[in-house]
Amino acid sequence: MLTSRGSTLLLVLIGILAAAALLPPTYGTVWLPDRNAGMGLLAVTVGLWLLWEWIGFTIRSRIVLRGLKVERIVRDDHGPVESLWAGRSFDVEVSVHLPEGLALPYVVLADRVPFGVENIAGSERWQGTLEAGQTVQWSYRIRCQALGRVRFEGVSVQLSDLCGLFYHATFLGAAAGFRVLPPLTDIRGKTARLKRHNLLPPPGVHRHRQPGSGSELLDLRDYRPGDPPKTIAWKVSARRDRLISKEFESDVPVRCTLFLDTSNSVRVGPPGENTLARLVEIATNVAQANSGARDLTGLCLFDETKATPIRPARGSRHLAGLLNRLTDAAGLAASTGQASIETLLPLAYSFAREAYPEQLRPEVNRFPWWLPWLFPQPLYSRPRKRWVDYLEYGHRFYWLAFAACVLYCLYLLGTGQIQTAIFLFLASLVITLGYLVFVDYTFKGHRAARWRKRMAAILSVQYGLAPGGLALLMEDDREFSIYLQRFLADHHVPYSLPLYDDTGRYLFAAPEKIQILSRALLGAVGRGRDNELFVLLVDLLELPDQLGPLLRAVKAALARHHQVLVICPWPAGVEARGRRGEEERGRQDDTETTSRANTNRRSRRTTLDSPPPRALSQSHLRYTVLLHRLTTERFQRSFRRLQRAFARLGVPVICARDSEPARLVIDRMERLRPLGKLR
Amino acid sequence: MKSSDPIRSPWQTPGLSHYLIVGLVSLSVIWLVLLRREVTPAATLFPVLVGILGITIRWRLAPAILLATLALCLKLEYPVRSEGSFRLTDFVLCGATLAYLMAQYRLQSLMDHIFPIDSRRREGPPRWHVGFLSLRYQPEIAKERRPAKLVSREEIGMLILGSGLWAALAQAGWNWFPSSWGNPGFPPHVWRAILLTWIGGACLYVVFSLLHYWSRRHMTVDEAMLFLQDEFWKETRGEQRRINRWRAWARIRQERKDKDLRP
Repeated sequence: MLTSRGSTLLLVLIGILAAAALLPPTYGTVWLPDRNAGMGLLAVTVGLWLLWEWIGFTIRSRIVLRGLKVERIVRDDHGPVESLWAGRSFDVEVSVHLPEGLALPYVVLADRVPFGVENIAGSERWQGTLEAGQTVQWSYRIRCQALGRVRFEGVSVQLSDLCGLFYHATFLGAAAGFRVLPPLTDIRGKTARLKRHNLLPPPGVHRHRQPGSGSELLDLRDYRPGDPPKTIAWKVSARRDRLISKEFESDVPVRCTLFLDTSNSVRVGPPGENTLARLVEIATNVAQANSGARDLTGLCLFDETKATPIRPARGSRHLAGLLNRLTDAAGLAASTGQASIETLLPLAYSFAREAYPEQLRPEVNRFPWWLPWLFPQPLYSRPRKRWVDYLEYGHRFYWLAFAACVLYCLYLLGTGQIQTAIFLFLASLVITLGYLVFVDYTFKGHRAARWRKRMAAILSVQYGLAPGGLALLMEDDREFSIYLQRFLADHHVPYSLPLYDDTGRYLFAAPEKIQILSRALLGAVGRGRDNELFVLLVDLLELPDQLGPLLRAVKAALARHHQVLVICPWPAGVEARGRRGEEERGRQDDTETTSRANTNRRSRRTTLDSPPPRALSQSHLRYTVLLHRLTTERFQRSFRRLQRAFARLGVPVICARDSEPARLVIDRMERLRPLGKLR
Repeated sequence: MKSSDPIRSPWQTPGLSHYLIVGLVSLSVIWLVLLRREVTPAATLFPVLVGILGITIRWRLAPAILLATLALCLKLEYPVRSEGSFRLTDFVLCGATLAYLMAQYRLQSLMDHIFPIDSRRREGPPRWHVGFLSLRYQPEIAKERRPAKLVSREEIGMLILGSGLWAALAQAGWNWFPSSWGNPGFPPHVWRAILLTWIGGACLYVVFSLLHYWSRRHMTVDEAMLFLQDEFWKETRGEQRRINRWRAWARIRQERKDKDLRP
């Protein structure tokens, strides 16, 4: 609370006051009772003023600030909105009201702009004097860059007196979450240039070559008793001399079910720029295009643990529901229990200091300073041990050695060797404390323990783990890491994760999702009707050897005359199998896409997305290029194996990066409409 | 973030010029009082010089050093006459010093920074910085200044009135403060120091206790949960620690087994 400016003044004041009170009031050898009165008065004058300022500031910071009320309205040109749209700009109006009472002499209020949102005009800050009963308003304009969710946390408050002697920073929580919906698109498939049918069914209704109540003639057959007279083909009946009935095609809607992979494998990367965002973008485009053609669209979100299906339907309300679900899915963040606490903890703690400063106060979240020295985390409960851990674990032995020294000192005292005992005691104390401080300062052990305890307490309360959650999170690295990731993801704070474990295995392959997807696909086939299209938006690049259950489910779907399309996301920064070749492939028919890999091998050369920075040394650059090339080749090989595996079933596999998968899906729907497949 | 106001000449900016005038007038008064109080003329120049340096070159330590040099001057003065219960020169000197301190600190808030400096926040183009055994090429540290347009006439008036008021209160308090009451035999100045410490400490304890009580009464639900959780943890820390360490150990052992079984 006291700034360095205030601390300096206070120290000088205490010094003057001590001098005035303790120095003998003499001039030479003459005793003068009022000799130090001038100094004392000077110190008391400034001290009284400082005390008054401190009391006023403390009341303001502890009492008045808690009464501030924050309101935030996000609006566009038409008024307040509850959802945002990617790529569009919105006005954020923030108002803060100070109730009657004391004024705030100088305060800076700053609305915390969420991650993934860009401030394009205006300032998110307000500064000045806040009078009692006053309401201040300010506004700024934001642009949402990527779809997902954004979260406005609240308003940070910085309070100071006019002289800058005291300072207090806090945060007024006013959390509000908004969905950032994908932009509306107008993607249309390739329409037929040749007129193939006389009938043009209304939107959303498609011909199906099965007897039904449509209006297009399907077949002629003998009359059966009970056939309506209007279906009798009189001319043919007259010619054949027996009654012949006409059979008509059935009018059916085309259903498209999107299976969207939301497992950890597609969540890796910055939110809005990862492969999940690309898949969600494709899915939203398809859903919007289908809605425009009045086709029915279903959705099934699946990950490693469960699948959440939504039945195919049409209508604006259904579309809005789909978009909301897809937007929520786009904001999911990857998580693994093997992430390092050393990386996540500083990030989470610094965010908590900004957004939850009141919950880090020692009054409610206390940390015993001796705890990591006397009870350090044991080595056996640490998944990965480092040599520093052994050093830190030795704390208790240092204390034991110190206790032994103290006992020996007491023994020396008892035997009358007082000077030796005192010397030994002081020496051991200095060595022990010095060593502990050195180790803690060098390896930041004490600070990390303090941060961990405080964060564990906050996480335990926020996620309902109290009262035992605090100890659990303090002792279990894996649980603590997972909850830290959840905390950061809930507040949309970007964080980095390791991709491989100690043995070199990829952590986010998520092979369990194959079973989940297969089960969901079979369920959809069981519920399916006519002319269904199943689009699998799934990352299978890491799992080309474990496709068995999925291939069986796809076979079942094809056996029921449904169509299946696989769209596989492509990792960012990795060259696909030749951009030109993929684009051409995207424009070709299904036969071309399902054909064997006629890839353009000339385009296999790898290129880095960004030019190498100059700071990289030549050898480092060489290793980077080599690693990049190996990764690219591995992905390309895996993609070819995927294509081969599905091509045996006649299912195309499309890369979701270079071509235009959304348009391909819509084209396939178009082809499904007029003819479908003969059953 | 810097204020958007361009800082031209301080004399041309209304808020700054007011505080400059108050500071210079206060320094003049201090100098005159020191001259009248039989302090060596050369010694009287030190506080004034420090004060002028603080105003002109924005020396951050100027107020504290002025206070220290002023106290030294008062200690070195030659006492020729004893004043009555109300010491006029002390009153004027204390008022002027307080006015200078307030003006100088507010000037620093307007021209340098009002909030503590955060060395992580930097802005502007990078340039070379010579530090203690270090040479770094980085942008300037961002400083938060109070905009000069926010300075009002009321705060200047309150500054002048307040300096007089606090000087008068200090005089009254000093005279009221007992130096012999209840003295068990200490020298009067020592007894006064002891009493001052005890009374000041008791006042601070009461104020802190009241604020602490108030803050507990107004805890949010999350803060109260944190407090209760902390108390529970404090009472059962050892047992919880032991159970959770065993649990973590068992999980790690199981993971190792699974890893060994994995192809």
